[in-house]
Amino acid sequence: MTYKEILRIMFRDYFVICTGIIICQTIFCLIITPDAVFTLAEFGYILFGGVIFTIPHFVFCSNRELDKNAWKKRRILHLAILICTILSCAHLFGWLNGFNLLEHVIMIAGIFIVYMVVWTVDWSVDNADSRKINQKLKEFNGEDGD
Amino acid sequence: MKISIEEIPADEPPEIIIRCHTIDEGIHKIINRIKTLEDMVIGYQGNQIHRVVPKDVYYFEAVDSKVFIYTKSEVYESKQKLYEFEELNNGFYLRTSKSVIMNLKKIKYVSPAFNGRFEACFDNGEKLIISRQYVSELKKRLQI
Repeated sequence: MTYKEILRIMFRDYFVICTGIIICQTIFCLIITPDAVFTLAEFGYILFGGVIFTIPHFVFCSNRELDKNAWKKRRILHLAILICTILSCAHLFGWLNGFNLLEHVIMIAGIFIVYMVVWTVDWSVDNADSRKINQKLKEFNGEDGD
Repeated sequence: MKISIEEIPADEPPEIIIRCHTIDEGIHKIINRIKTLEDMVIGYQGNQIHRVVPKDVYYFEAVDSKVFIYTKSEVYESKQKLYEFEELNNGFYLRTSKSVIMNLKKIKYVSPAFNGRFEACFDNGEKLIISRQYVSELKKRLQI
């Protein structure tokens, strides 16, 4: 993907990420701290975090089209960078208290689940599209008996 | 047989006129020969010049300002620009990324390649990516 495409996807994913953080925090607080109260500043952190968390998208930059395997590798790298970035921001913004292992595990699991859900939904849409394309390709290639 | 060549202004399309007494087998042969030549793609392999039938081309690819023609088992270099191959008039060719034009007739199937992209698998086993921004054009061509 080129820089221009990356910027367009970053803009779209900003909103996906903000929603993802809110879902993660809701699940996280329901399990760990059900009485938690969110301040205006904390919502600001989420909006700011949305910007920071789209930056790892640059791992997908390439002048040539990445093949399936290269894309998978960059996806894994992207997820790893994203988890590190989110954990760093979580410490900075006070979303995590110290080095509580359980909190870290739940947060990483939350990120992983949201990431996999988004990936699965994307893949399902593409898979349905590929089935339609293959059906039409069969018809197209059969037309001239070539 | 007399052969006449007339130079015409650049804004006029080139034209071949055959003047004959009767349209016989020989004239048909000439017409078919001209039509075939017109549809050929010229490819270079070292010092050799090859005429490639467009329907045998799997895809055209631009690499570092050079254009290559890929058939089932051969690769030729072309002196033409990549966009010129989009204009091949049989309607089988489609740009599928900034640097590739594929022959839809040679695609066996496509599979998802993440992020709205697809991987086209050709009947010779080769695989190439269809960029996200060209998928809508592919769907339009296939009337999806």
